Amino acid sequence: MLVFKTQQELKMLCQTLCQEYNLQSFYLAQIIGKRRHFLAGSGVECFSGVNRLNITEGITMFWQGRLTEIKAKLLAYQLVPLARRIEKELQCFVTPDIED
Amino acid sequence: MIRSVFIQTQISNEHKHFELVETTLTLFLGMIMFTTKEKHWHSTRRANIATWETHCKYVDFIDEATLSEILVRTKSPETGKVQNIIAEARENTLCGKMLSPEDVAILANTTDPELWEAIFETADWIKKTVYGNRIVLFAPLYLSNTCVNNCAYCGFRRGNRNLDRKILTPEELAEEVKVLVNQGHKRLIAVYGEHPDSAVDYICQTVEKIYETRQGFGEIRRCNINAAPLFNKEYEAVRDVGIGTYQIFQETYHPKTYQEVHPKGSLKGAYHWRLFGLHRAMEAGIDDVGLGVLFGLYDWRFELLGLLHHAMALEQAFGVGPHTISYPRLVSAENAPLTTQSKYLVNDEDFLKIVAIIRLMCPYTGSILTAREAFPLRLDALIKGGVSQMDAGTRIGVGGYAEMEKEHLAHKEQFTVKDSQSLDTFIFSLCSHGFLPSFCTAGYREGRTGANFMPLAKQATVKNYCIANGILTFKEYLMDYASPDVRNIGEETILPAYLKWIKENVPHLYARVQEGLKREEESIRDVHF
Repeated sequence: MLVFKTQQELKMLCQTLCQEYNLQSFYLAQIIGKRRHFLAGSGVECFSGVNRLNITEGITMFWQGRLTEIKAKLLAYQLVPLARRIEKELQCFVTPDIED
Repeated sequence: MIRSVFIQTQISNEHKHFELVETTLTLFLGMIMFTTKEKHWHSTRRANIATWETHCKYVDFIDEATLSEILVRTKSPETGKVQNIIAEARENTLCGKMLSPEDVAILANTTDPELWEAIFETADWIKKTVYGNRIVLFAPLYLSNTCVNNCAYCGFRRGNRNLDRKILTPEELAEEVKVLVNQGHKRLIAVYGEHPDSAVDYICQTVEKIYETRQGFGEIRRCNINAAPLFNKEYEAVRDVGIGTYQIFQETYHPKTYQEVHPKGSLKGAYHWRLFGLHRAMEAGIDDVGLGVLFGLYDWRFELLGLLHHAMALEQAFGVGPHTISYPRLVSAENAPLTTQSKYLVNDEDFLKIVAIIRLMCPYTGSILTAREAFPLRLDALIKGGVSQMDAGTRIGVGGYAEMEKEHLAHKEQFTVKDSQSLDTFIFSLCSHGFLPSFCTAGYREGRTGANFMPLAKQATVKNYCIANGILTFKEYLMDYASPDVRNIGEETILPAYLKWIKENVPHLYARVQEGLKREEESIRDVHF
């Protein structure tokens, strides 16, 4: 789980990307087996089906709207450092547990 | 008046208590038969649970006196009030708002048959408005029936010596999964007893095994879990193997009844540990959770208010309500006398009311009706209660699917299944009533989980994806598993009808669905949106 501050940061980023690329929606998810666990996002669902591209082995991006293949790949490359940071935060996050 | 009702309730509880003494003694005898390993695991865990309960940061959301008072205050409601609540429930459907406890109590206290017809009609309308006329199909898979608990109503309870205990090995599990996959299933609810041999490591290993087992075109694409409450780190481990929903049924929200049917000192006897089990799951990052009550342990009206308060508490703490609500009803279980002796057993008429009220009360949530119920009642609940998910072809004995030739395995089962027809027969029945059978598992694989899923359900738009993915997964079933009769009705009637729905309601998705169907005919599988 991400801390609130990171969630807000990601939400802002998704909002900015929606505006910059004129997308209906953009969101990030953690890859956990078959599950794509929602982390943060922005925009409006338009029910046209989502496009996806893995940024790293642990984080994937989804979007709705027109984004050429090359633009999507370039964007994914730009997001790699952020994705690495998110992965690290997700690995480090430990929920409080009385058992210890 | 209120005081008089409270006294009556108290007397009734005391009477019930005496009746349960014999059962409780038997349960305690069961407790002393732990192996050394079980004893150590149980005592360590019990101590940790007690520590957690002592430091519990959450405020109990079940105030027994308040809930009882609401039920008394709303007796014999006026027709106009009920009609207003029905209208409000329809409005709520488009914004995901839940009814208030008073509203739910009024519905539960309604007796006028005409008003009930209106409630049933509204439940059906809500379900169709949110999810469309599709029914998601799944299979329960029992992985173990060993359990350290001794719950009075459960066939798996420790004191039941008539039960053959079993924990599936990886090889046996693979066989079970292959049988289910060969029937066409894509979604499982994996069920585990609370025991050191089926604890968190076993859960994680078996979920991984379920996902990696393939048979031809088939595979399990979503594995939900029904298991005991865990500690946060254990939830994290379960989350990290990619589960769908984590279900914990409270069984009863009535504290005294809870203590009566779950022996003191047992793990399950810890009421607050269980009550906040899904809060801990949410804290640990599992954002799809399922609630449930075992109706028949206490007054069903009280239990409905309990479910509502639980959903409200989750929304308040995490901004995300329950992904699903289940409402199993107490049915007879091997060597568990309470299952036939409880004063609160729910009859069919009241059961239908429960299903419908849950739909009006919490319009966005998935509503799960299981094969505990006989088929005619299941069909009734489907039409009148707004059910959205059902199991079919169900076997609940551990290893039961690989032993399909046997109708029931009472010596391995937790309770008795009343609808044991095959998945294909069940699908034919759904089709003949105009429903779209769906094996959709797309949502959680497309990032529509937790806070990303809720707005779609709460704004009643999720049906656009539900119907599209229902069409694509049903088409897979028709090509790979269906009998000629099902293939006929599916290809000739059901698919064209729902494609028409997509064309009229989500026109920009229509071409993509058509393209998806074409790809499936070219032997490509798992096309989804």
